[in-house]
Amino acid sequence: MGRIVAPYRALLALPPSGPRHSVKLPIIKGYLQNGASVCQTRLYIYSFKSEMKRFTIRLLVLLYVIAISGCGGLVTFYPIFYKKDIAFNPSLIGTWKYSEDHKTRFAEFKPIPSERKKELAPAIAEVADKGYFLTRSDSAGTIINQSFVFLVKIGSNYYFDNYPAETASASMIDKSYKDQVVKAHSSYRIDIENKDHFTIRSINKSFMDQLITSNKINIRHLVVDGNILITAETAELQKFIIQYGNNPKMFIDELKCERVIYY
Amino acid sequence: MRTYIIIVALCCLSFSSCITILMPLIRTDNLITDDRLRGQWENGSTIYHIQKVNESRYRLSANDLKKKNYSPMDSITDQKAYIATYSKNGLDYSWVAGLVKIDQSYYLNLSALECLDNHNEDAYDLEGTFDASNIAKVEWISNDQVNLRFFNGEKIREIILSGRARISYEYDALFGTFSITASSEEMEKFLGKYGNYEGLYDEKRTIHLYRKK
Repeated sequence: MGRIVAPYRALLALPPSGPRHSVKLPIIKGYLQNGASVCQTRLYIYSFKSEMKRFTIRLLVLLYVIAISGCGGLVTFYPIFYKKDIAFNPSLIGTWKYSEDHKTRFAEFKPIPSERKKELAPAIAEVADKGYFLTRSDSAGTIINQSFVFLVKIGSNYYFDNYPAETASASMIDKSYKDQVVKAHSSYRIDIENKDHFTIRSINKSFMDQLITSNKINIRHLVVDGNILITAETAELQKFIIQYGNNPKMFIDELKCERVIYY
Repeated sequence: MRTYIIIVALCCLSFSSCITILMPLIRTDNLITDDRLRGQWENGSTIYHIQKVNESRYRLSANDLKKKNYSPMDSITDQKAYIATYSKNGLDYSWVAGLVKIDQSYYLNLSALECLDNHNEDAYDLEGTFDASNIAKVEWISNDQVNLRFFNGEKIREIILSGRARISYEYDALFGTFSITASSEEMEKFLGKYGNYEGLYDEKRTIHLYRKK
């Protein structure tokens, strides 16, 4: 996912005439999805009323993107795991390739470097040796994003809990600015087939949203301008994951990862 | 165990220093304007430009105004928000600011809009995030001097987590993420009750703005 925006921040974009640059639409970049076309969409906004409409539009765009790409994590305020659930698997270390929007991408999993552990809060930094530092890049080697990943076992399945890492330029950015961007957890089901292949399954967000809006599940959440942000705590999240982890309607898409480099 | 949790919580608190609110304070019915805010301001070597949205480069074009879904009400609310921009360390920052009056005090809801590098790329475009707002109390010293006072995030968190102030929040102790999730109305009540407590402000974070133009 990308940013889910508060009514203010995303309400502005440039008019067609005289832009100095384009403002990215700050949503919808899937975990394993470039999303550039969506992000370059311009919105010509800015009242709060029309912002609501825009959020509806964005939500539809989001659902569309998910529908066509199938990529989307379970986006939550809290992690889906406790420390005891971490199931570090050293065989994931290495570089993997996968296809996304008909383009080849690379995912490098390596142990979390000590200098990056400083970005983590003390409680999770204590177990950072059991996590991965993931760098996604395109075929030209350009970094798409970086994140902290924890492989966890919940019920009978394995999942990645993905937490954003800072950008290279983050140290130059005002802390007050960074504080207004709240990091969320994006989780995916992982099926490890053998030492050279594993599959990432993203959630069907429309199915998830439907479950919530039709009250078929009772999971704590906030609706921020039409977007559902799940605020259930870890125990509640795990109950939900165990209940729906094997539901074919929930984890719909597959992203096949194939090892290209052993470490 | 409880001591351990408190120690971990306090360690986490030291990582962040301003309040983070998920639901913005502003609404269409509480947003006000004060044109004294507009202009060019100075704080040390940093120059701040504050202008109305419809005066900024983000303004709607004539074509946009003709769009069907753009109502007169939209236009009114549109005219009340401000854009604050400044440059620092080679980065161009833009914030959106909305002014709200609570009792006799004024507060700015500030939301990060852009942080552009010298290639006009967003320098802080993380995936897997959601946006929040910050709040500054606006204190006019004169028409040419205004102070933006920011809350001490650690202190606010401490009183909320210890139960001494009641407001909706989420706190993930494992990753140290804290955010106030109160509705705008709840936040208004909170500010009405605590907004005048001097001890809750972080004087080091106060921005003293002196008018240049």
